Amino acid sequence: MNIKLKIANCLLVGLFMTMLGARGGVQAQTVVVVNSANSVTNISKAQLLGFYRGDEIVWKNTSRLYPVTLRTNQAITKTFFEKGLGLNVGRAKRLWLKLALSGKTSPPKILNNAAEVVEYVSQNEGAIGFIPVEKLDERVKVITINGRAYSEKEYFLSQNTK
Amino acid sequence: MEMKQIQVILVSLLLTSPVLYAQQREFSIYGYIDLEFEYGTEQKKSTFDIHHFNLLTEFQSQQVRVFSEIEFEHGASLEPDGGEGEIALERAWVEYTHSGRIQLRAGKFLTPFGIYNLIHDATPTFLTTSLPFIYGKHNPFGVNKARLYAKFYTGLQVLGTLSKAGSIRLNYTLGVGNGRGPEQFSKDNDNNKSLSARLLLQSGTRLQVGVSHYRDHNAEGLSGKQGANEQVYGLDLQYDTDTFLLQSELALFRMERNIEAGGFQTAKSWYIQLAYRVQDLVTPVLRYDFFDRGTNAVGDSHRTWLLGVNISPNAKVYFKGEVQFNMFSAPDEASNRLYLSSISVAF
Repeated sequence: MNIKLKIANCLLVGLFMTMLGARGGVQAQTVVVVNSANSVTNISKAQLLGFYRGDEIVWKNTSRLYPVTLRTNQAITKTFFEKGLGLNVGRAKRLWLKLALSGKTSPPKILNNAAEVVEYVSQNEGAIGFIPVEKLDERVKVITINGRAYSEKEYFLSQNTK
Repeated sequence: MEMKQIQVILVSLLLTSPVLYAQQREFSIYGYIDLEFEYGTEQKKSTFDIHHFNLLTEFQSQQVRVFSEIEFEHGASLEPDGGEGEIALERAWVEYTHSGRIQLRAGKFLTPFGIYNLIHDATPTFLTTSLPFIYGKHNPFGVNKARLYAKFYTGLQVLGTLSKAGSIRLNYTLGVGNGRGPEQFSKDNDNNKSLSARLLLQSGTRLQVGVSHYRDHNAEGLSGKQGANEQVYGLDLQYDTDTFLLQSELALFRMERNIEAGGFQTAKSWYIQLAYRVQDLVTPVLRYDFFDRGTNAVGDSHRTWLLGVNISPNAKVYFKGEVQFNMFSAPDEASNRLYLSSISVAF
C-alpha cells in the first residue's frame, strides 16, 4: 500500500512538473533564430521590435521579412515581448490586427510550438522567430541581439542574474 | 525519357513543392463583422444594423503582395427590383516592395488621410462605434452630403520609410488617382488627377504626429461648380501607452464655389479623444468633436460630446457602447442624444 501510494505521489509530482513546464512555469532561455541561409548574424533590439511592430518589412538586403511568434497565451511569448522588447502583449495583438485590416503589412505569423517555428524559419529565408534554446537544431541559426549572445548576462532576455 | 525517370522527377517535385510553397507563397483571409444598435432621441426610434461583414484577402510571394477587401454593408440584400445594403470592392491593389524606403502599389485604395481613414470601416480596430466628424459625410454647402476628401481612389501609390534615426522614423505615402466623379473607380471624367500625401513621424512606440493632404477637382461640384478645385489639409496627433490613449486631429477644407458666388467655401473639423484601458479589458472613452461649415451663418456648426465604453474580452471581440450629446448652432435644430452600441468581431 505504501509503495502504491509512493508511486502515485511520484506520478502526481511528475504530472505537475510536466504541466508547469508545458505552461512555461519553468522558463527556458529564449533565443532568436533566422534561416540558416540568412547572412544576418546580429540585429539591435530596436530592429527586432520594429520587425514585430510592422515598422520594418524587409531585411537590409531588401528581401521580405517574415516574423513569426508563438501563441500569445504562452509564457515564453509574454516574456519575449514584455520583458524583452517592452511591448505589452495586449497592445501587440491590437497592433497586429491593425496591420492586417489596414493592409499596411502582414502581421507576424502565429505558430503553436517551437517545432513549428523551427520548421517555418528553416523553410523561409526571410523568417525570424524565437524558441527555447533546447529546441534549437541545425536547421536554423541563432543571432545575437545588440551584439550579445544568449549566454551572456547582458542578453536582452538573459536569465543570468549573477 | 523512360517512365521510371519521369516518375522519379514527378515524385521529387511533389516532395519539394511544400518547401517551395512555404518559402514563396502565403495566402491569408481575414475579416470582421459588426452589429449595431442605435436609438436617437430626435427620431425616437431604435434600429439594429448589420453594418459590416468584410472579407480581406492577402497573397504574398516575396516582393509581391496582392490585397483586397470586399464589403457587405447594411444587410446587402440585392434583388432585381430593389433590395438594400451594398456590396462593394472596397480595396484591391497589388504591391511591389523594392525596399523599406519604396513600395509601389496599383489599384483601388482608401485615401491615406488622418489616423482613421486607412482603417475606416474596420470597426475592431477603433474604440467607438462612430468615427469622428472628419471621417463622415457633411454638407458644407447645405446641399449634398460628402466627405472632406475622397474616401477611396483608384490609381497609384508609393510609400515607405523616408528616414529613421534611433527610435524616430518618418513614413510617407503619395498617391495619384482619378479623383471624385461619377465613375471614379474606372473612368476619370477629366484630365485632372487627385493627389494625396501623408507624412507620419513616429517617435518610439508611443508618439506619432501626422500631416495629410488631398487635392482634387470635384466632378460633382458640391457647390454647383463642376470640377471645382478642392483641397483639404489634416494634422493629427496620437499618444498611446499601454493604458492611456490620446488622439486629436484637425482638418481644414476648401472648395471653389459656384460662379455666381465666386471665391472658396471652407469648412473645418477637429476633435480630441481620451481613453484609458483598465486591465486591457474595459476602456472608457471621452471625445469632443466639432464641425464648422465655415459659412459664418448661424447654424453652421455641430458639436458633440461622446461618452463611451469599450469592453474587449480578447483582441478580436469588442463590445462598444456610447452616448452622443449633439449640439447645433442653428436655432431650429434641437440638441439631441444618440445612443449607439455594437458588437464587433475580427476573424
